[in-house]
Amino acid sequence: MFSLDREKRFFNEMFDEAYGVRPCYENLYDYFSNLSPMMLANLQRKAEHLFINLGVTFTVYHESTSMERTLPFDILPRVIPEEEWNILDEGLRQRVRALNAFLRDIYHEQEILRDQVIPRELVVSHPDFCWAMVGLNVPMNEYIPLAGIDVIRDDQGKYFVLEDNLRVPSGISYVYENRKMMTQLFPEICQQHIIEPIMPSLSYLARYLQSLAPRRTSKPTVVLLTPGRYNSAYYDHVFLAQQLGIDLVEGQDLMTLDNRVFMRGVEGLRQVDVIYRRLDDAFLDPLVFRPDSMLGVPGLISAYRAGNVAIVNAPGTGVADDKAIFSFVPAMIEYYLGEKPLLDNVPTYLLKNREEQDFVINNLEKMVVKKTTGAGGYGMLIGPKASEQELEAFRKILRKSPLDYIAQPTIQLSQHPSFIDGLFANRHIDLRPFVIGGKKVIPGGLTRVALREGSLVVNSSQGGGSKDTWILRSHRGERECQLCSTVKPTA
Amino acid sequence: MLNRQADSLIWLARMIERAENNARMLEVYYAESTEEKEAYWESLIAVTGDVALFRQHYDQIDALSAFDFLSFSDKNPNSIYQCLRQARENALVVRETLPNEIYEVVNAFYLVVRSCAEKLTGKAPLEFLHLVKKRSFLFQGMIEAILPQGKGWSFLQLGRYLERADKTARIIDAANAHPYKEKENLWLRVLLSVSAYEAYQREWCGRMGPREVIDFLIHQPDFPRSLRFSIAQALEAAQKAFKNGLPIAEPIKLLEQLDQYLRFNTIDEIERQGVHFFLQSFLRENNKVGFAVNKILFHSRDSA
Repeated sequence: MFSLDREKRFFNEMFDEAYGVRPCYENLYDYFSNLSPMMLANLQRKAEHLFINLGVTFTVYHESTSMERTLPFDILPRVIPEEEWNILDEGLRQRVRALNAFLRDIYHEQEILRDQVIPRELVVSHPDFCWAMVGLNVPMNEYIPLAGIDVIRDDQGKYFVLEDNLRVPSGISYVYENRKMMTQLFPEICQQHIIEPIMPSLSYLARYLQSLAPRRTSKPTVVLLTPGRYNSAYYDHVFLAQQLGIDLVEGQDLMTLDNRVFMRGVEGLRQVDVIYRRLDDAFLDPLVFRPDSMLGVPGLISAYRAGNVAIVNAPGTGVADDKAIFSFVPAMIEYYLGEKPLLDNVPTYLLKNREEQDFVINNLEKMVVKKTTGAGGYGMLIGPKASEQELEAFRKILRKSPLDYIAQPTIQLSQHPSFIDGLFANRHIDLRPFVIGGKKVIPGGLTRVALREGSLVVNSSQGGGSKDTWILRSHRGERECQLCSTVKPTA
Repeated sequence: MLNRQADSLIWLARMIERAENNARMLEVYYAESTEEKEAYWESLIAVTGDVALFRQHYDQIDALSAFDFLSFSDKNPNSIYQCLRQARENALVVRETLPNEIYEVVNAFYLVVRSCAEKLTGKAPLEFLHLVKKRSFLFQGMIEAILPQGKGWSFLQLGRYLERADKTARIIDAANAHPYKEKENLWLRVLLSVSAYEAYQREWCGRMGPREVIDFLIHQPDFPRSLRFSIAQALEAAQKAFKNGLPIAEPIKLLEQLDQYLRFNTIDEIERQGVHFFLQSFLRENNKVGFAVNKILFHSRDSA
């Protein structure tokens, strides 16, 4: 059942170097070894069918056509023991706290630039530096209520941060749908483990969003602003609106009056206090950003400046999740919090520096090169997989516009067995945990799988899948009740 | 509830009801091979109001072309397949306001109709038509069983009953225009198509003629597909959906008038005016309700 074809140069989540099963996976290994490949294939098809009927899908746009697809679901869950998770949990919260302090700083006093910890031109000349945010006080000084931080493991199993997503990180619905699917397909094996519950985090997020309301009212109105159902992450929006019990609105449903934001409903107008937007900055307000935006709300930024509404995440956070700023995050943590970073960055080379540029260009076949503003795995070069022509083409591009790119040594994503064609074969994975306000991390997060053999690209738009992620408690504590999703102490 | 969502709820319910009615009308004559059958297809296409569109795409009217046109055709915006496509589009707009199970029923309904449209051109039509009816029942049952009966629910009801009144009126009209309109079998088939056969028999104990059946389908106050029942339900739903104090909303006024219209016109009065004339003016008034709802939702934005 389990492929023995393991590559020594990668860390394997399930097996140690001597091909022994790691302790936290023992139960799962026994359980899945005893199931027939045919039964597993059936269960996987069943999962796919359930996802299609439920409409848990995303839309892929390719040239002129669009296609609805499910995110392929891998039935073998990933397990992270509690001790490992505690470090991640603390490190991620620390990181988001520092990034939040950084955003508050650069849009106000800019002390970090004055103290020359980060080069000024890197920040203020950045395309995502939002001039409308300068001097604006955001509710509770909270710029990033919901962040997604991508984490990987190197060949020793050490955790590294690969990327921060501070704008509109997507994928949270899959964390919950994957868990629901696991408990539906494999109730027995789920009950044999004490898995850290994830449902309470949703209520925490709902309360957290409410707490950002500038108006003093017992029941603030929170809405989720979506670009509409043609957006590829629309299911994510639907899921959150439904689960948080908030209204899902489009720009046309909102209007501003007297520097306040209102929602048009069949019962008349209702003032909106918090907008969780899943719309890029540029589309938020045609009066301030792109004038051709039909998706936004005219006058929104003015209401925001007047302090009458909270926008989540704040506009202008993109400057902090830039891949060039990324290399300064450890410095930010020391600067703002006076703490040592608990999680390391993946080493990153900035190409504007001549020495680093030469080093990267001479070692391009060992590097991964990314656009500083890119997302979704487009426009990147994976050195070891590239042909000589591609390498040569990239060398030219890098010499010409070094500021647009960063380079990282080829990352050793860890591997995990995945059920593919009747066999558990090893595939590369990463992890995207979601951090709420720098205060709470949803236990686990989205584990993405590169389903193609040898591939390092886990993005869903490029053939990635996902699996459920379990934070495993080693001793007694609380557990999620399967029936009502409330937390109960375990016996 | 947003205005846009209210509109989508109306159309979600309407489209599913329309698909179900298409299936009902097709089912009536599919298994029969009697002399009145051929003429029936013509009046059936006439009922849907899409005669010109039909002529553009088919040379002759027969069982096969009528089935294709009303079930799977891409060209007909009111075919079962297109109705389901639109129902699902609308369900997507209101998805987060509905329980997941209801969305799942609509989505699975669309997916199964789509796969039938791809694979089953002309095969096992009766089974397909049964399936459409059953899935529509499932949707309606879910609405009754698990949806809170607030504003959203009343918009769904409004859409469903406006559509049902429209289709029942058209079914009567088509049978009435049929060249063999005196045949008992025709009216028996009409009753079967709206699942009224048993209820009618209990009321009329075996008498079956155009006058009795028309009377039953227009006036029977307790039969869920009669005009009177449908309009009464639509009125109740509109009152719940639009009660915002004074002035009384236009759709409520129109529905009250329609309700009166059905009560005061007895079968004798209807026959005196002519059944066709009566039904046509009913259909016109019924349409006006839809326009009035649309106007409230989209043209008086700030006051609605």
